[in-house]
Amino acid sequence: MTRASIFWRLTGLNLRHLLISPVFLVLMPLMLIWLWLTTSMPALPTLNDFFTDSVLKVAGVGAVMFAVTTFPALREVRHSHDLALPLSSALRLLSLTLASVTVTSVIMGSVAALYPLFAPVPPAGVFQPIALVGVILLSWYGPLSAVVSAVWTRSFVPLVAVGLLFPTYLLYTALALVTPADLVMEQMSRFMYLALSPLPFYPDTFETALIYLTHTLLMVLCLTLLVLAARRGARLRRVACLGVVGLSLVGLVGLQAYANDVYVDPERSPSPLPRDLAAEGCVEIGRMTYCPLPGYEPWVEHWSTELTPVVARIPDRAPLPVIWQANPTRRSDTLYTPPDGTAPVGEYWDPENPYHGMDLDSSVVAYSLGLPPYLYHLCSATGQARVVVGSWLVSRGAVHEDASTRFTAAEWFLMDYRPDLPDLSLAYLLTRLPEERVAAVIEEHWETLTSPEADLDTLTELLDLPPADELPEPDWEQAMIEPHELPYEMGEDTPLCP
Amino acid sequence: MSGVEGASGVSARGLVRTYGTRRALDGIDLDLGPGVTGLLGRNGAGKTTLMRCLSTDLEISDGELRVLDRSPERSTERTEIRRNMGYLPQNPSFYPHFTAFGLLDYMAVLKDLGGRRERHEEVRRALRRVDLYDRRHSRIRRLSGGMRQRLGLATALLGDPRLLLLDEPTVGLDPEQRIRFRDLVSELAVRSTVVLSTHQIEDVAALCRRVVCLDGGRIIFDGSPGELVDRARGRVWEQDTRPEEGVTSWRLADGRHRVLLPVGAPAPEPAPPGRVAVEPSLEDAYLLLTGAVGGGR
Repeated sequence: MTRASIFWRLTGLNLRHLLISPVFLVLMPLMLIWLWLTTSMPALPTLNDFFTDSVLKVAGVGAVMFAVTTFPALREVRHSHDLALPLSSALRLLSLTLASVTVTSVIMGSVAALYPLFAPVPPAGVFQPIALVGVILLSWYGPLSAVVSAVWTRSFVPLVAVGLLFPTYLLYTALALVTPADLVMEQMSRFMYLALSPLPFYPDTFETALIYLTHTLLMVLCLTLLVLAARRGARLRRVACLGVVGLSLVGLVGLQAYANDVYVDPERSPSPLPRDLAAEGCVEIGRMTYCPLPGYEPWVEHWSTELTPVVARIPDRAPLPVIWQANPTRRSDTLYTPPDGTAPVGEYWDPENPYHGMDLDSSVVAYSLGLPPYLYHLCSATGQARVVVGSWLVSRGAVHEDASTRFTAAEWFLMDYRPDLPDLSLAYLLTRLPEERVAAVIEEHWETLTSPEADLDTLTELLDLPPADELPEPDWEQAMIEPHELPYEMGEDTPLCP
Repeated sequence: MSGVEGASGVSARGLVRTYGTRRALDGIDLDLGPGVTGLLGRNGAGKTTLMRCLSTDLEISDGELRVLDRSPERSTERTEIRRNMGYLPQNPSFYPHFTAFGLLDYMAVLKDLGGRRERHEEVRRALRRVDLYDRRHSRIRRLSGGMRQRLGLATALLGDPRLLLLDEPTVGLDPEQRIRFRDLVSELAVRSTVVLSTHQIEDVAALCRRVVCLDGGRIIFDGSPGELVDRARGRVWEQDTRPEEGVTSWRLADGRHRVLLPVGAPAPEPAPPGRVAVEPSLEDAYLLLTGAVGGGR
């Protein structure tokens, strides 16, 4: 009982000392201000954004707590060893660790809580409470690493090394942008991110959150055992601790391999569309069906607003896809092949960002025109009428209010089908023609125009325009594509679109 | 508080401590009770090892040791011993970024000296006892060597311990502080066991009712300072000339020589010029006991 009482009193004392430590009082407010200033808040935040933001904040808070904890940790390992104190050094370090992780958790919890509080709308997605526990545990790496490095090195060298990382990073960022050192820094950044977030998915389903939590727990276990293993003169315990650390590391690697195997989609073949869309939470608005992921239902309205003017210009007899939101467990959701009959939409959406709308419009239009899924299968359709028709349809999207932004949208669609100068010139001209004139031709000659055999002149004839290769060049001031880039991007061996 | 509060003292039987093949302590038998016991011995005699064993900082290799009626081998009992003991190690290494108050508060927490108010009161009391109250907010790295020594003493005094182990406590103290220190220790020794390991014979003479001398890890004398002095009676004298080799002697301020005649050695005949037998001091007796050779040729 006595030792427990001393332990808790010491933990309270450590807690107070940490909070009034000059290092804490100076660095933590600075770090919190920096984190606040660098917080990126999308117009429509998601819980994935929240998670990514939390991981970045974990790095900041953890780094400060690493510095703050190093000093008392060295006090215990370097300065208090010969005083025959009532609590052993292991228990004193445990007490310090407990105090430090408590401070870290409270700060991290508060910082994390601010994100949904300041979000313009509630973040979309489904909340997994155990994922938040994982984030809090992740922030423990800072204080635990401080204790581990103090115990094993008994010096300030690790703190100095970590302290030098930040200015070194800034220096390299400033000086090494065009040198090979930039690559080194890029790799270092990547390594840092992987160290904090090594799993290939967001913890936004119960299974992934559980894996994430297990991963962080194993890391915390490793660091704690490394502290216990540092004790001199207890060989058996040392060997046992290091043995368990080894096993935990094997577990960590195994977990990562499992996560990579199961949660990063290795298959590119599309899966069938579920038969009961209502059961999938899908909703119909007008001619379109939208299947949002759980928690993303409010986004349907945004998608619908964007698509309505585009779909209005697609004849009723043309096929339309189901809007299918990509599975959130994949970070690289652009690699994910959507089910047949769908147009995918990602986990990001900003009504003010025209490119998000253009991607959605392009997916729907490509499907209606019988082109392969937009972004997933690159093919060449140079000189085909259907891609220019598609470019005009995409330019009808809700966010494009003037001719120049409409042309940007048209180019955005064309870029995936290897456009040449005539394609671009015709697309540019269409955005300047009266909308009803083009719409009437498309409505009437849809089957002709969407055939792969229809060339540009088929369209120019229907619109009473000169042949495509006689059309004036687009206004290059308004174009994204430079004249010397034509035909755009893809090589000669790009397959023809079916 | 536990049952240790009423307990006092140390009991050691056949205490052995080895470092590799070297026996730093070689069969120590010792019983210590209230009062001040001086621990004397040359460098390497085993004083600090014995102090560290008594403080439970060092495990014994063989024998039996009980401190404050508890066994240091059991972890819960060891905690109790450490809570109720004051220990000032030789050259204590305190965290330099602590303030004087912060260090004592930290130690007071580890000794479980009550709640915050009670603990802080005890810390202030300890700081006043060593005359450091005015420097309570100074960081340790800014304190002089003597101040740090007094701070170490304050850590040992926290909670009026039943057992006080002081290893070279007066190193770096000025004469005034040493007098104050003696007064403090005498006061504590009324009901506590105090073990004073030192090379300062005058501190032992001033404070100790009992002296234990170590040599080569063994006890070579255990008795009162008077008994130690008695052993030297008739073997200390002053003379005008420097004595022959092999005799401990040193030159005095008035140009005469103080000579210590080893036990068993015959007095030189004829008597050197000006030879006068003098009353031996505790230092004379200690030097004779340990066979130290001073300035004699």
